[in-house]
Amino acid sequence: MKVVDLDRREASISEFFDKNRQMLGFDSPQKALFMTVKEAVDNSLDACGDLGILPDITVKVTEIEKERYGVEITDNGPGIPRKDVGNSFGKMLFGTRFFVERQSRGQQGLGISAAILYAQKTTGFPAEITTKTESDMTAYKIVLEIDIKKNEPLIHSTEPVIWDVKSGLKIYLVLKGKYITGKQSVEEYIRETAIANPHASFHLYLPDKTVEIGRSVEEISPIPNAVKPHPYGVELGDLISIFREHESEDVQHILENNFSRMTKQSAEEIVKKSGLEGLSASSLKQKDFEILLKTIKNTSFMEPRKDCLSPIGVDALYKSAIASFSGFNPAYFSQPVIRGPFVYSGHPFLTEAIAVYGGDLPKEEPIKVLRFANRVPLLYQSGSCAITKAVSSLSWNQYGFSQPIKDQLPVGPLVVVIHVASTKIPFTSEAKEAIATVPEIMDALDTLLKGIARQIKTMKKKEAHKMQVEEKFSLIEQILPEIAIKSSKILGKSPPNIKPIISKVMGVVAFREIEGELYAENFTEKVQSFQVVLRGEEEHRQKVKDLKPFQKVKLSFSREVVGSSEIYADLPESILLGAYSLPEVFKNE
Amino acid sequence: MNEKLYNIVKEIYEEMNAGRIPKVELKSRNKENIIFDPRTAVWKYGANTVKRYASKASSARSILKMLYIMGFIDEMTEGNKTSTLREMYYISEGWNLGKFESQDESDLMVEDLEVMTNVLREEMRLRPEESGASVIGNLTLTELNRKGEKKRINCRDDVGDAGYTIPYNVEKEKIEFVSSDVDFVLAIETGGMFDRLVENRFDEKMRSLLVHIKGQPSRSTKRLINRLNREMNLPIVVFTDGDPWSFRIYASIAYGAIKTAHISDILATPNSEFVGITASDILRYDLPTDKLSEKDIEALHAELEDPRFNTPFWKGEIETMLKIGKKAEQQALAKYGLNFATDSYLPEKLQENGII
Repeated sequence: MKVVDLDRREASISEFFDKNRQMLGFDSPQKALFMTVKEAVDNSLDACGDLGILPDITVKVTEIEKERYGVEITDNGPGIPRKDVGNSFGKMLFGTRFFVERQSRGQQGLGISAAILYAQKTTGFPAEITTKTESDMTAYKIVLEIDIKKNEPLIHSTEPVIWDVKSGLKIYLVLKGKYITGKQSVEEYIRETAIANPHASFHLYLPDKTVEIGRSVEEISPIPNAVKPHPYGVELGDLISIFREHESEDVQHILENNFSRMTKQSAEEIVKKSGLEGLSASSLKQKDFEILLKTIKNTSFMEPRKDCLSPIGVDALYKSAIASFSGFNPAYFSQPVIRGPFVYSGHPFLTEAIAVYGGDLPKEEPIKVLRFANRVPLLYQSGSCAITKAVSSLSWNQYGFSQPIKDQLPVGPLVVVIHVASTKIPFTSEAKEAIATVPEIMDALDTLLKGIARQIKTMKKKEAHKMQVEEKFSLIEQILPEIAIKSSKILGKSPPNIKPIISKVMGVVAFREIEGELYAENFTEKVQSFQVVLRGEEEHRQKVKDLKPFQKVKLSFSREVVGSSEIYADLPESILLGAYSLPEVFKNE
Repeated sequence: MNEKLYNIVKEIYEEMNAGRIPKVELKSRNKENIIFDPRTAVWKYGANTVKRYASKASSARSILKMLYIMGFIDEMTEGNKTSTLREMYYISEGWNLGKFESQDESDLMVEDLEVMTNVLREEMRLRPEESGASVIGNLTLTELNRKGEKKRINCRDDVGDAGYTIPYNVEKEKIEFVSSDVDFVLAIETGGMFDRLVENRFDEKMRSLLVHIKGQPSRSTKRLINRLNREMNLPIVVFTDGDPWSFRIYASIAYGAIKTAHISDILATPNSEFVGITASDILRYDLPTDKLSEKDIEALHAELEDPRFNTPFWKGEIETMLKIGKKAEQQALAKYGLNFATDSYLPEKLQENGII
């Protein structure tokens, strides 16, 4: 790792921090507490991911006094060799870049140092970092702060401590903060993080409660590959930095070795067209870089590699949604939808989503949109985010939702989880709180959301049909009998036989679920023989012979088959009712 | 219980017994089916009907609710009880699937029953919450009281200054007129004016029967006025404030209301006269006034479209009121002293209308 942004190295780090507090997300005590937890948790998830460890993360927030909080984040990651702790935590590595592109959670290195610096500035407490690597016999506790003038770690102490784990990292900070609950709180951040990282488990010890979130999948999603940047995605600053790093090499080689999809021929052609033949990197001037970049953009390349993206995935997303939202007893979980990978300005990206509908979710409020960028929940700036805008601009009326104001969120009991993954998420600002409305991403989100909304619409239709069927059964089983009893009582007569009326009202063989079993019931006036077909992933058949009026027969299909299939029968007239479908939630029981 | 109600139950029962889907037939409540009949000058239901078949759960549910109401009326008849519409709504809590969602729903269903059977709500032993209006003047009647006795009452000599209170049921089985010695009935909108007329002994001096209608009159008040007109041949004169809402009070006494279109024949008294404050009176007597509010103006415009006000007199008065932009209360007459209403205004107006 090399610091290459030379322009800023001399600037006072303290001054830089103060000027950019807002940009770094530490602009209020409430947000500072949130950011500290976020930076540490994001690092832990990345560290575990790199080594294929199922993350197990503990977050403790304790109120020390008013507006002063202790924050401790513990993970089961690989730990950091104790000699590297200083450089990893005690330095603001602003301006640093790795010249590979990769789907990752945060900017490398800046976030957690900002949190340490903020804590140090607001309370004077140094950071306490405890690390245990697999190869070390013991754990080490390192107390350090950042030397603001030199931008270097100032290590107070390093001492061995007993920590009985295979490996792990613990960071403890004392900072000026404000603990809140609800929206944009630490709890919400962790809960949403758990949705996008179903392979992680969390233990939260907050001032007012304890929360345990178990993992809902046991497999680790593949670690995204790092790739060299695609020529179309490179900006002037990047280009200069890359060349500075390889000053001794010649231009053509640098091009060939540091960009993906750059063939020998195209590198040669670019050098020729830019008039830089035979030159070494050190001799290039600002103007040369400008010409070079222009030439690159006018050259055609293969699309960037797309195998470097790692979606949460259909299965994991589905299990995660069930684990996170079952408390609302939703009527329906949509199938997860993935769109992509696509490309914008040389960067591959993909979008994925799942929706949860009904149950105890609020009916009269705007739908809830959970936004994620590279598995990190976005809790701020929702109004200016591409995801929110894509959701709002869909005409939800077509899908059976009321949208009182055009281009605003519709109203209804719906949660939509949307994830955008990319080697480079186009954030609207350095604070990384909202995704910019890049046309390619907007298009992908639009088709993604339509895929989700269509499912909800179909489901609502089924729901309405089910209601109709329930009404019909309530009519014949409750209302009509009561009419018969009530009218006969007033007249002092015996109740009439209402079976003929029931067969008139129904006139069908009805299929429905009674206590988990599927029954066929003859509500016609004739004896019926027929064949029942359940058509789902497989086809199941059963013959029913001589079913007399007002008799019912139990069918031998299993509950699971009934829940996932469409039902057909070879009966002449309109014959079937569909009070048989089981809610999706129970499919996995 | 009334036979017409029994017949509805019987029909439902017999349809079921014969294996047919039971139904009820109602007059259509559609606006187009409520017509202003120019011949009799009252609102009436047209010929359109709707049939509700029990093959639909929602219709079956209303049939069931109707049966519960009839069962309830039957019980009340047995026990010689009555109930308010509100009481019945609360009692329906225990009616299983026949339970009402709101009092509006149960009130409407009682109206449906009235429309279907021509049996009055009062005869179904159901009454509204509010108390009836008061009457003072030389009218003798008998009222069948709760002990089952026919009590003879003279509405001038046997009552205090608050007058005789009109019960919720004023049909013949409850109230019979014996005799009267008055020339006309004066229906008065406000309590203040009613008390003024009583204190000034207007009933004796002008040989009139004073009825305090308490704003928009209740059904029983309208029904009593209708009976006094029909049976005792007494002219009806309505004395109200001078604003669009008071004009509507007159119109509902004279021509009925949309809500009670099915019983306009027995509630409306089309030959009623109006001696309330008009726009011309405001100008003629230079009365103290208030400015018309936006709602007043809206209401006046609506009245210009209302067939009940489609006469040169009303069109002229409404247009004048809109032009001057002012309204006045009955009490405004007190500008000229406490006796002005009884000694000058009313005699003049009654004379103009040919009542005296």
